[in-house]
Amino acid sequence: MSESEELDELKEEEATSEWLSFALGESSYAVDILRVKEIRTWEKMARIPNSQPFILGLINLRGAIVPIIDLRLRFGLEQRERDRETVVLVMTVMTEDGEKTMGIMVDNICDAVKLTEDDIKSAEKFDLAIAERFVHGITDIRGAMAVLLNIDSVLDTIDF
Amino acid sequence: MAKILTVDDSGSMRAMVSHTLSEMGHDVEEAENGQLGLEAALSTQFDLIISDVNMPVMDGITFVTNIRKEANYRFTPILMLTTESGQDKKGAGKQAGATGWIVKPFNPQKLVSLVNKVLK
Amino acid sequence: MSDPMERFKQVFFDESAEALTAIEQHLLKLDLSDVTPDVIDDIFRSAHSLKGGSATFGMSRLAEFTHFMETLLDMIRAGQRSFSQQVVDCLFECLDCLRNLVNHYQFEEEVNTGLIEAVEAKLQALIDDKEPGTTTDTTESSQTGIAMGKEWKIGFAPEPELLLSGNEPLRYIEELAEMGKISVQCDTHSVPSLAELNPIHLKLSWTITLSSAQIISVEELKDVFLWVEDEAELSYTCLDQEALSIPDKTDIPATASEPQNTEQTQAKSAAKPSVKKAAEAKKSNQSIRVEMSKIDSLINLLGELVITQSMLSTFNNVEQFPGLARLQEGLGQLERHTRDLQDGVMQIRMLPIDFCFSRFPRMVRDLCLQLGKEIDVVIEGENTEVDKTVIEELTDPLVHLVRNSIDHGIEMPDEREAKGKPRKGVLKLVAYHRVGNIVIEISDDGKGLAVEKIKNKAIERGLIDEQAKLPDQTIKELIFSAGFSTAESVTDLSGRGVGMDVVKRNIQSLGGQIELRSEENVGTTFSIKLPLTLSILDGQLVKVMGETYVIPMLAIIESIKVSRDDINKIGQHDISFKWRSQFIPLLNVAETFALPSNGESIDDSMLVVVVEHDSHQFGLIVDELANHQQVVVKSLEANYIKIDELSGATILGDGSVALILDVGALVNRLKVH
Repeated sequence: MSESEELDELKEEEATSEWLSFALGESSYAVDILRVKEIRTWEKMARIPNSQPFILGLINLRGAIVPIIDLRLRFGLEQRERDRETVVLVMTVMTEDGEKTMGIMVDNICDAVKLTEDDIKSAEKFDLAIAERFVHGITDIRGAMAVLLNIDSVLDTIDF
Repeated sequence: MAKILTVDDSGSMRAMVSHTLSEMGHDVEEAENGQLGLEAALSTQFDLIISDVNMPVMDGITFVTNIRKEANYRFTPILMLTTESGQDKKGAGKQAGATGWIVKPFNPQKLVSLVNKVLK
Repeated sequence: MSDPMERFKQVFFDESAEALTAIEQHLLKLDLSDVTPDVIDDIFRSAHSLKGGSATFGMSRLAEFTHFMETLLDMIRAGQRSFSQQVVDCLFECLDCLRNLVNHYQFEEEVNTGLIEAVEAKLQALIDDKEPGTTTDTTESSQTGIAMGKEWKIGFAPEPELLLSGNEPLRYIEELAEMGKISVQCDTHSVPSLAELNPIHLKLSWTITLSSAQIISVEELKDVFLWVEDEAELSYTCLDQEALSIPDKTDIPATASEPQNTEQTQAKSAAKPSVKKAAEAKKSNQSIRVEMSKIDSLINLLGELVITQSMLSTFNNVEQFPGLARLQEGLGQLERHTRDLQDGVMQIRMLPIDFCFSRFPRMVRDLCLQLGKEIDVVIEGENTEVDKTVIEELTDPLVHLVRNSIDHGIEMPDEREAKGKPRKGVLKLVAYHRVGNIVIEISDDGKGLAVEKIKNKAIERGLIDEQAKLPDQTIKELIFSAGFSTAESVTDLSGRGVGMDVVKRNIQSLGGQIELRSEENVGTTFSIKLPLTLSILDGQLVKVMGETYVIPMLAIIESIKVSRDDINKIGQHDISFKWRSQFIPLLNVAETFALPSNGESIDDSMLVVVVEHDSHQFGLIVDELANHQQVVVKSLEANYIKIDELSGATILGDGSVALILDVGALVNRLKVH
């Protein structure tokens, strides 16, 4: 048993949450894994007229009409040609009118990490270039900083 | 476990009776009126029949009278659901061959105890 | 709703609604000169079920009220009271009370105590009015004396036929055993010899001695034998009477040795009931109750099936798949079955329009009483079926139109007579199907719309210009404009702030249209055309810049090729073209939706879909017409937000999403620009 595995096991004793990390360009982000319904590759979407630029369109998810959001554009980053690694994370979002399903398009997914409450640090001191309400905190994943996202704010339909 | 038939035109009553008795572990079948009750009783042998009195198509009294004519149901307990104001119906029910009656309103506990009275 | 009791309550509420409708229907159809026992039985049964259910589910106020109703109806049934106009009127009022009480328990609506008490008093008065001596007081003759003790001797001598009512004597003895220690003596002296023995004739009797740790009352013992008290000779003798402080009663013997003196319940011959055969084996429309959500999920699944099926049908390359011919046969069959299945499932949600129409006779009756008008309601095509959701949305607009006809349309009887019309006006409600739509007409033979009056009012309200030369029909249709009302006095019928504009908007939001025909002094007809269902739409697929959109067929008049030269432009924008000798506005879908252009088209003609909304025509410029097909409408709000120009989305055969255009919203967009 390696040292890190041992550590992981120790952590399990405490209250842990699991996060799925992904990249947008150079930056790392992560979302609560319990909110990730499924991971899909890019597919053709129906464009929505006169919508915000970050709304890519609508897909058919087993009979449900689900909007897909380009997370890069949502965060004010520049658009990027999609490639083989581009994926769509289908998320459960809690809104005022109840639970909705929406997808976010990200550059690639990295891995799933277990975090204890102590692992999650406040992001207050940092200018993360995205709205504060989007951010749950920051953490260290393999030595690099990852921004933990508050997905309900990121996908708040008020901004749509 | 007994096979029980509940005959009532009121779905809520049927559902209540059926749910309560199913909880006791019985196998309950429902029928919406006497006519359908008769059909059900002739295709399955029940150990107990619980029937309402006032029903469309075929009322409870006629239903009981008819079912008692069947050799298979000569000794089967049949309970009728009556209301406190329907005293005359008790007589009619007995005359038709009912074993006993359950006075509405009743709660599930009461139903359980009365059903236990006829099912050992 | 996981609590089963709550679920049963829900079923009870559904039943109540049905029971109320049933009573109302009967009352409305009632011919007092010829009231059949069936009708009374039916009304009685409805009230009776309401009472049973409400008492069971602890809705005491409702149970109490229905008890009054039931008592009166029972007397009518027994011929003790006649079915008079007074009774009918009172029963109508009872309906209002019942609705209020049901709503109280279902939706926490406030109980209208004043009304209910008043109606209860009326019921009581009708009940008390009975001939003397026919009291239906059913309280049991009071028990004589209280007998209690711990030691009892019980004599139980059943009639020979006891077994034939499904009773088992041992059960009762066992039940006694649960109350204390028993010793049982069985008397077999009347059992005949084996040769004469009839096994179904009970010739046994028992004497049971019960000794209990607790004091047992004679009522408790009688309770045990309650069901067989008429079929057995029963005696209860208390053996330890002196142990009790209860004063002695004459019917409790001092000694146990003299059973002759014990309180006896003789087998009485039960009153001969008139066992009525159901008058006619009425073929009841059998139905089951299903939650809407279950049907909706079925419809969703079906949508999936339709998509899968159409996906499969795209494999049609015979060279590539040699076995395809046979497969295609199967696919053809699958397609037919899928379509049938879809029709079938949609049918489940369909209800006869009667669900909506049935309220009107009562409403008209009440309004007539209030206004002193005389109106007959004629209903045709009440069995025409339409989706439940459409019925729900349709009810309010129809109520408004009917109120409107009664209030403003049909004249007072004297006024009608003076005009040479029959005193009684006629309000007609008609429903029928026409090519995938339902048409509902509400017409009256009243005074019709007065063109001059409307025109003046419209000028007054600033809706039209004084100089404007408008055709009569256009003026009449001004009543649909916001803020228009011809009511001279605001009665409590109309003038509720809900105008015809709201009615029209409601109909349009259902994807329907409303038309108006009116002639002064002849009458007014409103004709409403609606899709049969809101979840499936008959659509024309069009392509614009590679995107597929659906235009509701109901809105389309025609699709035509228009030469570029015939399109009037201002700058780069296509503005209008001449259609049937009139200029109609044009809307370029690609431009409106800001779709990225894939280069200037070189065609010298453009494809225009002429659509109509609100009797205004305009043209939509599209690239290509694709299939005409039924699509399943899915809401955008479920996971996203409402988009103005779209009424929803659908999933096409290839699994892709297509947006459904809201023609009305697009027109409004035109007006804005």
